Order: sequence, then structure tokens, then C-alpha cells
Amino acid sequence: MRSGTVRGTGIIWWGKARRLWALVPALAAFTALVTLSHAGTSVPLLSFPAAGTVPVPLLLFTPVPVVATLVWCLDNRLPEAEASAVRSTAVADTALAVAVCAVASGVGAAVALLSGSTAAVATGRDTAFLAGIVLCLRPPAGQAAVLAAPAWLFVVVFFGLPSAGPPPVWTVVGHSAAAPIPLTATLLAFVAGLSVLARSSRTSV
Amino acid sequence: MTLELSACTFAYRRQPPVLRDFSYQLPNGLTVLLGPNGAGKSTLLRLAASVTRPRSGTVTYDGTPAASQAFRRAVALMPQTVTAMRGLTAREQVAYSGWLKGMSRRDAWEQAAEALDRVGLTEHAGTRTTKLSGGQLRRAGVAAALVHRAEVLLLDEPTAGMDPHQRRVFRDLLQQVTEAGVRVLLSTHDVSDLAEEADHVTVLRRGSLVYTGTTGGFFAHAPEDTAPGRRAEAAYSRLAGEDG
Repeated sequence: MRSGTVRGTGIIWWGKARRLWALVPALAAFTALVTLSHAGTSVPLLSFPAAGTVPVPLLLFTPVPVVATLVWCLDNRLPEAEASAVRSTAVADTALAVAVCAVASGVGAAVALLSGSTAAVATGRDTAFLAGIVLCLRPPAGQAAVLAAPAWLFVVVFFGLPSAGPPPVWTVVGHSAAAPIPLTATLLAFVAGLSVLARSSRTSV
Repeated sequence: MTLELSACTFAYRRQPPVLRDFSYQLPNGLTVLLGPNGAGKSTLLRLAASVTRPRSGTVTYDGTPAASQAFRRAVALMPQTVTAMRGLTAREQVAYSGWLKGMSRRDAWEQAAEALDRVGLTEHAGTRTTKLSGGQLRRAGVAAALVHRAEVLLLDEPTAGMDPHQRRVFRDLLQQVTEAGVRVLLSTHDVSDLAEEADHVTVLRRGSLVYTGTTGGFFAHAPEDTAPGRRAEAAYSRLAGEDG
């Protein structure tokens, strides 16, 4: 066995540990399928500002499983070995978070081109925003941080969606992809999340 | 060259300190770390391996701080709970551990085979770690600690779940490792199993060092009328305050 061929490089072992090969293609396929099949679908949900129900695009919730899978991948680790490592996995972990949001953006843009849905374009922005929040909360909250993504969306639905017109700026999600303030907030949240991730990759859970 | 903790205080979030103003110097050879549950054994090992950082105080090896690469190369930890990575075989997981410790991928891959051979897991090298039994997984954890040829080995209850034959193999391995000049600090609840073979014994109680010294000095704490086969347990019970 000693003279056997080296199977994989270090970064491939990292990828296998994070279970990327199984999950990232499945995630891309899932995002494409959901955005394509539900690009125009809305469900009535209770909104306090509207004093009743408002139609909420299903696409608003597409980022939740994407972000949950990202966090699950990041949690597949050897905590003690990675915390006391000479080689840091921080760069690879950060690149993974960027790649997942890039894939979600790419899939959203492709579906928008195919279906003409403007809401699909915002999927990438919403994914990056929610991923940023969740990554910021991971060190203090652990795996429970992933709940921040659906929690944010339900707060937006219950308290942010009016019966007519655009939602308030603080919601970030639910705006068009090109809206400047939500885009800036997304960039800030995502960069903050990445910097927290880079630092916490060295920390034992 | 020694691993040293100086005036270390450590507490988990919203908990009282597990170790307070704790100082310790790891002696040569095999040291067995004893203490009741919650005494701070695992915390001591995690601090000594630079897995966690003390709130105050320093951890050094040969004068180099715990955050340095030289320290991290020199010290290896087998944690109390060995994680089975679903996506990795035993050899890949051990090689990944070596790669994390700075080995080249080729060295890590080759040394992983050798480390698995030393713990008697060669035939399971290609088995996914999630398919290993509890005892096999602990042996894979030992292999991961051995893979990069550390100068200090910190083993957190390595013999838990091992059958008598595996324990004998493990004792032989410990002997080889210490004869090669590696310092070993090993925590266990199995007092009589390893204390007789250790060069030194350290006993913790509620985060404090109640004994550290030679094995002979440890046995001297047993009551004089203790049967020879019961000396380790009797000495431990007296030191750890479990004798009455």
C-alpha cells in the first residue's frame, strides 16, 4: 500500500470532507429546478402592514435550502485537527461560500433569461445576503445560526410586505436585483460573513 | 524541549473556569493523566494542543508559542471524540490530518498507510470511516495523531472501546513511540490498565493538579495493606478524593 498512487490532493480531501462532490451539483440542480418551475408562483401569506394576506413569490424562499446546505458543508469538518492545523482551511471555506452564492446567482440569471422572470435574478443577491447573516451568527450560535435565514424571511413577510408597492429598504430581500441600497447591504453582510468565516475556520466547535 | 502551560485559566462560555491559574510541564516518556469526570483532563489536552486558547496564561513548546507553526507541527492531539467523515476512507482521513499538519500530499498519503499499519488497521484503510466500529475509529484517531511524526502526542482516552487484544497492540505501540523519544500525555479512566507502564502520573481534581511525579511516587499514595494488583486504583482513589 505504501507504494500506491496518491489518491487525491489535500484540497480534494478537504472537498471530500466537506462532501462537496455530492452536494454542490445537487444544490445547483435543485436551485435551477425550483427557480424554473416556480418562477411565477406566489403563495398568500399573512402580512401585518397589509392587514391581511399578500401574495409572496415562492422564489423568496429558494435561498433557504442553499444556505442551509452551505452551512452543513462547512460543519463537515475535523474540528480539533483543523483548529490546530498548520495549513488553514479558511481560504478554501471562504471560496466555497463565494462559489455557492455565485452558482445561485448564475442559476437565477439563467432562469431569468429562460423564463423572463425578474424575481429569479434576485435569487443570487438574496442568497448572498442570507448567507452573510448566517455566517456572521455561526460562531456564537453554532448550527442554530442556519435558522436565521428562514427567520429573516418570515419577519420580512409578516412585518415588511405592504399590500401594494415595494417593501421597505430594511427587508433587503424582495427588491429588484438592481436596487442599490439592498445590493449595498448584501455586499456588506456577505463580506462580514466571509471575514467571520475566515476567522472561525481556525476555531474548534 | 518541553511542553509547558504557564498560569493558564480557561472557562467555557458562561461557565466557571475549568482550569484556573494552572501551570504544568510535560515530563519525558509516557505520562498518564488521571482524574474524575469534569476534572479538566480534556480541557488540559485541548489547551496543550492549541485547539483552544486560554483566557490568560501561555502554552509553549520549546519556547515557541501555541499559535506558531513550529508548535503546531510538534504537537498532535487525538480528541476524545474522533469524528468519522462520511466522505473519506480511513486512509484519506488520516492523510488529510497529516496534510493539515503541513505534510506534502505524497508524504501524508504514504505516512497514512504506515500509521494505519502501526495501529493494525491496514485491512480497513479503504473503508469509509463511517463504516468503522467504535474501537476501529479510535485506532484511526491514533493513526491521525501519529501520521506527521509529532514530538508530543496528546491522547484523550485512546483505549476506550478497545478490546483486550487491541489494548495490548496499543501498549506495544506506545512503547515504540516513547522509545523513539516522543513525549506522550494520555488521559484514561482505566487506572490500573496503564498506570503501571507509565513513567509518570498526573492526577487532576476539579481543575487542580493534585499529583504529578513518577509512577513510583504515585503508588506510594496507596495504603500499605493494598494488594499488589490494586495499588494503582487505591492510590488514585486517595489522590482524587474518591476513597470514601
